[in-house]
Amino acid sequence: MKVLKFGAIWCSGCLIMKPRWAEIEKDLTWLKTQYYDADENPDLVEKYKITDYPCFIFLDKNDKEIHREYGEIEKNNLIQIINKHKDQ
Amino acid sequence: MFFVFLILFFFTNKVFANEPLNIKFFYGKGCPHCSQEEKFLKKLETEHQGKISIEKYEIYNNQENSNLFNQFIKQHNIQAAGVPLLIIGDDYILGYENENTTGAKINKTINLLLYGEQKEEDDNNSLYLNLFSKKIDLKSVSLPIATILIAFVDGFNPCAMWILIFLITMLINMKDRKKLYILGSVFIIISGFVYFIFLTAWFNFFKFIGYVYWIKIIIGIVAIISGILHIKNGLFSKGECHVTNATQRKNIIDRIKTTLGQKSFLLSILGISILAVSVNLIEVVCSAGLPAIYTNLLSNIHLSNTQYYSYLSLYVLIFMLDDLLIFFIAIKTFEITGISKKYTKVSSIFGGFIIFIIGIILILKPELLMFGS
Repeated sequence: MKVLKFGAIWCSGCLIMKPRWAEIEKDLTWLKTQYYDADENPDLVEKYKITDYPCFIFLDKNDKEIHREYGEIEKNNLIQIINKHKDQ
Repeated sequence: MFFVFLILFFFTNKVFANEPLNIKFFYGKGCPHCSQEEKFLKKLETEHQGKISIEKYEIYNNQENSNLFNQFIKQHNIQAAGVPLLIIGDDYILGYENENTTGAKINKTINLLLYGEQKEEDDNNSLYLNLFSKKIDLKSVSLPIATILIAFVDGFNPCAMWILIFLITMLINMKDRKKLYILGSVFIIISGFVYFIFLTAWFNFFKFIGYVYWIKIIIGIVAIISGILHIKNGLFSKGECHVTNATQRKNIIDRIKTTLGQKSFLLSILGISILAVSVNLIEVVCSAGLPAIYTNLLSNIHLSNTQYYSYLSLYVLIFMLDDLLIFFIAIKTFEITGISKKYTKVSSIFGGFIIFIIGIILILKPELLMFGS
């Protein structure tokens, strides 16, 4: 499983989520994540049809989208979602 | 000689008894509340034919009347005086809302002086709230509290916030503290000033048009919708940033980058000032609802100009609080911080509820929002 994180430097919610993800990535070293600045990656924004930020897209082993979250999410909730999909 | 005195005594007494009640009406040409009161007074003159005499004094264009007005406000020790002002005997009535509120008050005062009718205890205009078995008169919920609440909710409007976050992030990335202090301050001060001008324009618009029934209804409806949206936002929003006007946003980002890239510091300051004015003018459209509701509320209350503009300044200060907070944290830590949704949730729900109630009152019982003026 892989998580694509979309944000923008002007977005307050993205700033809130940055340290939360940093903590999760530190705890779950096996987790693969990738951050994309929405303004610099318009093609990916278009591909995934993202309308709000921050946006977190969970992909399976075949890069198929299995889950999506928007906005501020508590660290514990994110860990629950990750654990639910980790074997996919 | 004695008979002459006796006749004179009865004559003068008779004249005094029949003398109509003198009412002085101070007004200004072009003042909408004054013209409404003037119409009402005309009606009163017909109702109390011969029993009242109304003297009219226009004070905007007549210096002599203006002096007389000043003399009366000193004599009656009237604070924050303006027109319309009605002097009935030793009483005075400042301002005019409508026939049912100020009109009823004028009628009662006249009836008391003419026929000695006791004034009824005017309790109809009060709205009570039973909270923790304590009776709270909502009229005493003062204007400063309303100002702070509405401005606070307005301040968390995400439309304008992104520009400041972007600017501070860019300045931090440049690793230049001096630029962060000066350019950040210039942006915040000018943004506040532009918002103040914007509020002043709304305020003077409402002050100029005065009491117009359908405008009050429109503002009431705007307040109800705005209140519901804020409550909904507080309950269901996850703190996401919506992408609207992507092209406009890209233009602003490019302008910030160009401005910060200027070699001359003075040119950067100038560029940021122009940017602050222009982006805030664009962004004010996005948050027109709450300023319109607030300034409409304020325009219906009788205060002095200093008080009016102090309230508008207080509104701007509270409105800018979140920007100031982000800026001061950035100065202190040299890092950019966002304000989490959990802090704005309560203000959105509570503020939204207050704005919703204001909307209902504006439509059903607008006189309650005059805060006892």
